[in-house]
Amino acid sequence: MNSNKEDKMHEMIDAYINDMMSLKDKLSFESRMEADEILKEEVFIYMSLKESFNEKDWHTLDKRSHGEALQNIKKELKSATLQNVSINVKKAEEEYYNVINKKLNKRKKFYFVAIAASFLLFASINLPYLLGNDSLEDHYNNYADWEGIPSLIEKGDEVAIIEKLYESKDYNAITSHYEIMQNGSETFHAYSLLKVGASYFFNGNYNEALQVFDVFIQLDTIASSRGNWYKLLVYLKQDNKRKTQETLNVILSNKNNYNYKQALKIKKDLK
Amino acid sequence: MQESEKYLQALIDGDNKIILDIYNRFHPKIQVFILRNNGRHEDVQDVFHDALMYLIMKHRESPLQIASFEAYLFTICKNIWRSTLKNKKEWVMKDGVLPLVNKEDSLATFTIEQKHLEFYQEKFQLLSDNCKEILSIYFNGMSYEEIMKDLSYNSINVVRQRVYKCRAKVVQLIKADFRYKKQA
Repeated sequence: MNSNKEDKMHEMIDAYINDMMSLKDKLSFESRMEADEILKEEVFIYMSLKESFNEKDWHTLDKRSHGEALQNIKKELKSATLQNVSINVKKAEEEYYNVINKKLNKRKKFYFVAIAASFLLFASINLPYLLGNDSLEDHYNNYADWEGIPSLIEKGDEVAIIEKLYESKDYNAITSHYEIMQNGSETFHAYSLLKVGASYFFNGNYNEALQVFDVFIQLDTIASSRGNWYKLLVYLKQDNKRKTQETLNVILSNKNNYNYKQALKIKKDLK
Repeated sequence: MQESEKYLQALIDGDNKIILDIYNRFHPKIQVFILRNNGRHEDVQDVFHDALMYLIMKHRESPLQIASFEAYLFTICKNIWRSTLKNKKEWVMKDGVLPLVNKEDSLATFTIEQKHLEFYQEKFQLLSDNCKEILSIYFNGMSYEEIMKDLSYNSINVVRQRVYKCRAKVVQLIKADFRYKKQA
């Protein structure tokens, strides 16, 4: 290509990638690209470079031509090792946000010192009496923290569906979805299971909820002890004293277990 | 042990204390960046987590050699955010609604996009200083006229010729690399 022709081509590419062509010219240039693989490739690289190096832009991937690579990465993200790594990161994240939120709350609390002081005075006088009369249902009401089930980290299709349904409190849809997936022997993301268990619970299907929490515990992830906490909530709700005590003992067998301190308080209150 | 290595190993080992230290030291800066660039608090949480997962995957694949953990983490967070914004824009343009976000899919996609970007950057670094300078500002939207004034060129035509030559050179370097054919 001589210099003039080359310049002309550069000008056209420039106009095309900067979206400065008329519709007619654009269509004509695109059909020219379709007929000329080399030109098409050049334009693609120019476009990629422009999008990649522009701080306010980004070059997005053509997923169709990277299907296998994408599947391999997704498979890796779903592996038990990376799920555990991810749970560890999430755990640190929770601790970080807890501290940040505590700091924020501290500021808010400053304005309510008088009210808080009155409340504490009242509570300190009446607490032994109040606790002494708590039923398991009361304990359930005090400690139920279903909203504390972590949001999902690496969300697969199934995970995203469960997350969305849980947000909209469509518990029936979640349990149906779970049952269909079970029939197909599909595995569920660990945190999805917690939401499935919670959904059975909210629908009053306590036995199914307990079974799902058991599956979660058996997955033996770093977050497994959460499963026992949610089982405890089910037993409290069912007013099942024996199972409540048994589950409390399991949680209290290790200080690192989820909600160890809360379990300790319940144990003391029940004495 | 270098700081970067310490942090990367802690992420892989699940060392809670050091991971918490990563959050304490680096999260605030990322938060400021995302909130200033049309993001919300939930976005900060997602981006930071995905960036750490990206680092973990990369380091597991082959040990990362990075001079500054903070700078690299910031770059990855910034790129994840660029990618998120671009995808949001494309979704809105195509369908008018945002689809249900599949984060696993988006992190996998980002991983390949970042790999392509690093490949382009590697080739870009092989250009002359003048080419790097002129192309950087050209890619960031400066017109030929502005470049002429900014870099004291004699005419727009000279600037245009320079841009064409430098751009052609980087494309030539890209195409000559066997990895380009592999990823195309």
